[in-house]
Amino acid sequence: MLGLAPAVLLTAFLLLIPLGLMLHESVQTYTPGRIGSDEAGPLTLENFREILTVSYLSYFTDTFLLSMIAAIVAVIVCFPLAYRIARLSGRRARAMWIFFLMSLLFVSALAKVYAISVSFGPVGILPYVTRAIGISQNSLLAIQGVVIIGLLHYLMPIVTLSLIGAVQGVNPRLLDASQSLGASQLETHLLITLPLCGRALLSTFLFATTLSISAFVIPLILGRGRVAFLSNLIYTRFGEISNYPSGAAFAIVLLSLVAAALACTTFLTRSRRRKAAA
Amino acid sequence: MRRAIDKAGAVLERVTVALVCLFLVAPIIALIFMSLDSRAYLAPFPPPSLSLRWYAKLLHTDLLLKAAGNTALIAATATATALLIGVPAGLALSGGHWRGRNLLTGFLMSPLAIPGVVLGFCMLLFWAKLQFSTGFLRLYCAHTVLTLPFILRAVMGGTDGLNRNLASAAESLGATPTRSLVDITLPLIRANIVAGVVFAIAFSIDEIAVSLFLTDPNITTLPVAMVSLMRSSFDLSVAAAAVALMVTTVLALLVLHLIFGMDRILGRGQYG
Repeated sequence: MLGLAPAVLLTAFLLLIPLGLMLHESVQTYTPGRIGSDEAGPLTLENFREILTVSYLSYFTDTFLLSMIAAIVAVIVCFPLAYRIARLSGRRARAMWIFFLMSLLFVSALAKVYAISVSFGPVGILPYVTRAIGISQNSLLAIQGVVIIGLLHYLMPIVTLSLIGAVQGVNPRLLDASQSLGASQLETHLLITLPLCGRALLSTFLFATTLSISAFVIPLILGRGRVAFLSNLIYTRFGEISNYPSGAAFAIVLLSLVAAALACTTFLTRSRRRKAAA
Repeated sequence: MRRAIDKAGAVLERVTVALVCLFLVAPIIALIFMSLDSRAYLAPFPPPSLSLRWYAKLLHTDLLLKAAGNTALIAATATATALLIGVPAGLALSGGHWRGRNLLTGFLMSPLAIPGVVLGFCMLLFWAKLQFSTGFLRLYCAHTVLTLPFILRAVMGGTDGLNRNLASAAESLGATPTRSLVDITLPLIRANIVAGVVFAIAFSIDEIAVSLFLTDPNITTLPVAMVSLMRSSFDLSVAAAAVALMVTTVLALLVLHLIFGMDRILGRGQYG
């Protein structure tokens, strides 16, 4: 029990107090030209009210729409790969796949973003693709596409690893039983495997969405200033105009959204475990 | 008919798997080629000829070299601190079920769930209120809090799969709790702890959203320096630095894999 003390104290000191300060900062009055808030000013909810105005709508839609598109695509295209790896019988082949995915997961996120920017960006295949579909390579749609590709590249290894766990949780004897009773492979897949993985697919999707909502470098580099997530807006509030109260208010909104998504994910995983235990 | 559909399904599955792998690997290979580009500017792929000029330039870019040194120092000191306080905490958290255990675990794990920008911003406010700090202290503290969850998860994962009877046996044979911890429990979860340390270091040397808020003119980390170069210039020494960062991580993971086997750390599930 005593062993916990340093870890708990350190995290409380370096996490809870700063979060409390941020909450306090978010209700301060902002004076233009000043760095940080004016302590003497009255407490206000103005910073939160400002978030609801139309001028910030595009940050929310970019963050959520692009994140959800990337998460859905990642779950769909990674499922076959996860299924294949989970059902591999050879130990060596499996070990190699897991190593491959773990390396991709931990390889510098910055290197991956730069890799996407040289291969899919303006010096890569982007001009060919945009010319083929007849839009400009600097159009919003093209930039949003590249950001989605960056998010996908970031999400796919972790989505696959998490889906491997889901497929492993399906008893292979159920699949044998279904096929020996005359179902085709496709029917078995659609009627047995997918329903049994349903909750896991949903919780992986939510988890992937949460991860990409928090993404920072991907929209910063690939968005070329045209596409920006909430995280980028918070950084701009701090770095370029020093409006700390507004930055703090946006940070609290982002934190609440991520916490809500994580709570849903935990709820889904918990009830799945309880069902498996029953 | 059924067989035809099954066959088509199998082909579709194979094609999807192949495309996913291609998508994951091709950009990284393209990056490696671009870092070997002999042209003096960022120009369309593929490079007409290869050279090591960007790597040579990297070795003469003081900003990046100094930043790389800082990054290594911060990763090493922060991970060492996290290890020192994380192993006892992980052992305490995995000892039995008591009230508030899940809550405390969630609290200690939360730095990984909170968006990096939010963490960086609130830590900046904290240090600004304290009015005394150096860039190194700020970065070291932040990275310690961020790497702690990796160590905790490793220790808790290791003790989860452990046969509790072993420690009880040692104690019934007369070993003190300390002796049974040092001689039985810690050696059995060594692989997990080493994996946790490697993941923690890999995370720390790549961390950017939090560090961006905490650097100052005197100290910067490699990823922060790389992002500012990426946004301001079309210089390919960033590509060379990215490849160097990548090779470091993959080598560390490869050593870990060859010694312990990454798949064993992940587990096979109940039907494996």
